[in-house]
Amino acid sequence: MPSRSPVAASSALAAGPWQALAAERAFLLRLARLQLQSQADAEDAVQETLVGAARGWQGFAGASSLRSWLTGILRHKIVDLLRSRRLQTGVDLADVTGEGAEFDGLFTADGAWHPATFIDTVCGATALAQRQLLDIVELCMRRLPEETARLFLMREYLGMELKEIEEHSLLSNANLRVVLYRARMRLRECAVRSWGEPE
Amino acid sequence: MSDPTIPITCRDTTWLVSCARDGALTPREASQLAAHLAGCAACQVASKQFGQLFAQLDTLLARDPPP
Repeated sequence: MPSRSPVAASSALAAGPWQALAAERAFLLRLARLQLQSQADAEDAVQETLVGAARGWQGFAGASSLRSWLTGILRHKIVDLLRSRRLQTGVDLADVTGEGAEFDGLFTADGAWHPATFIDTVCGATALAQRQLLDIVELCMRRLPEETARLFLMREYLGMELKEIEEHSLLSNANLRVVLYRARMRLRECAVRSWGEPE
Repeated sequence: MSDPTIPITCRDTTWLVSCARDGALTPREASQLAAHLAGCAACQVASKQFGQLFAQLDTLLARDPPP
């Protein structure tokens, strides 16, 4: 999703607001592009976010990370745009639900975790720093198929209720729940594999 | 999963953990989930993994954790 890691962004922050803001642009642009499905609208929303942030720089007290602050500003712009458009973009169910047997390897025939494939690593059990853990989650999110990521982030990033996402995507409640379930299962599987890797 | 006395599987548990992220479970679902978690070590681990994943998503995406 981003072209620069939070570590690089921290270095940029020390170099001044413009460089710090520029360092977050790629991350913000991917979030916006996924939701707005328009390069031009995404660039406008991100540009407005960065200009607004530069103007309000003195108000950025550093209580949260710069990325969190910017992500929060951008969220409102995307939600406003989506709601003003009342855009409905039909989603091809086959694109987002995938194979029904995708997680069969994780479970036994009677639905128990399969001992041969179950990974019991819990993050924090290693010496990885919190920032690196966030990088892992971010990397795993980038591996989600685009339509899945878009719907998943409508819920997880934009905080939209299921009903509103259903209206935008023309998916049924049951199908949307399946999409979100699959995204979370994929993320868990990706993350727990990385959590277990040594530094 | 219509009867709270009917045990659910680990696979069912992952579904309920995902659903709980989007809204409150029904009392029946919640009791089924709790009963399964109480007796399943693997699901206790998986539930913790999901919890950590969700917490990191909240941080990454600057979202307030759900109440």
